[in-house]
Amino acid sequence: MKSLAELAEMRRKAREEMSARTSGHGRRVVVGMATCGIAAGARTVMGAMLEDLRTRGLADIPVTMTGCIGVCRLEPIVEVYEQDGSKTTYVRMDPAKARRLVAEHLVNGRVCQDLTIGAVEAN
Amino acid sequence: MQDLSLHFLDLVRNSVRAGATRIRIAILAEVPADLLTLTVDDNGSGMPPEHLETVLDPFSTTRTTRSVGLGLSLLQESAVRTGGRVSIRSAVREGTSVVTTFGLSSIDRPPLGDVGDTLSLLLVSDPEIEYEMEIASGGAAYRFHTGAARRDIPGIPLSDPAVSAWIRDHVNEAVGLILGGILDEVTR
Repeated sequence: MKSLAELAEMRRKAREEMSARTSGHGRRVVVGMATCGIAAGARTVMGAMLEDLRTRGLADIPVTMTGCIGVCRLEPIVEVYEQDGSKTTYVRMDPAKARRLVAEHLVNGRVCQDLTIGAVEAN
Repeated sequence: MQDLSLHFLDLVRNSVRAGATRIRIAILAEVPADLLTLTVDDNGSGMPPEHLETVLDPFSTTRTTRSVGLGLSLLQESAVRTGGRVSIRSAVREGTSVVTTFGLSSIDRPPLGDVGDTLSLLLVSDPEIEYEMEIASGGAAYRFHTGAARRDIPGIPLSDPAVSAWIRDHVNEAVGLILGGILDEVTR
């Protein structure tokens, strides 16, 4: 059984890593986590994004849950907010698409156009 | 919902939306009674009696983004299929308690799923909420308090990636130790 002492040891490590982290350009990520999102697989989408952010040392980008966004048929939905408040809505996400979003949008600042609500709704 | 940990996530999100700051999650397996009981208690805004009456109805919701509220009715359907039920107690400004029972050995019971992942992602999203998680079976019990964890790592939020991964593994290890061999799908 892992102990809380281990968690205390991690505190030291986390502090070191925290100082090494790069900026997320003020972006934040929101995942729809109401019944519709959860049933469509939103938890694994959020988990995959966090795992990738962790590996890339971008853990200062906040990833939070929200309620129903209103287009349940397009869940799982992920919204990326830029520092200026503008928003990109990604729909029908899965863990692989979520990792692409991290690499292209969060790391390189390039929107994954084909995954956005506009592109998916047009098809 | 594919598993019980997703129902947990859904129930706790209801608590968070109701403004809860303390949430208790409990999983109790009772072999002699053949019962698996899931409990989510919160100190959120609670519901008035007239809303409580309709809360299991899929066409009842307080949200404005859509007109159906499926979470609790899906949970009820899933419980009833195994001979169990959902009971809800709630008081305005005091909080809500949702207790769900399942037939432990029923072939229709959904598997437990990744409970550690559910708790750690909830903490990543809202690290300021206090959680108490209990897992018990027979004489064995496990408790995790975010309050105690916070005291051990002052200055580091529970949403810290290394900390949340630790919490996920810690909870899942406890699930294995306490429920392994008791729930068919959980290995020790």
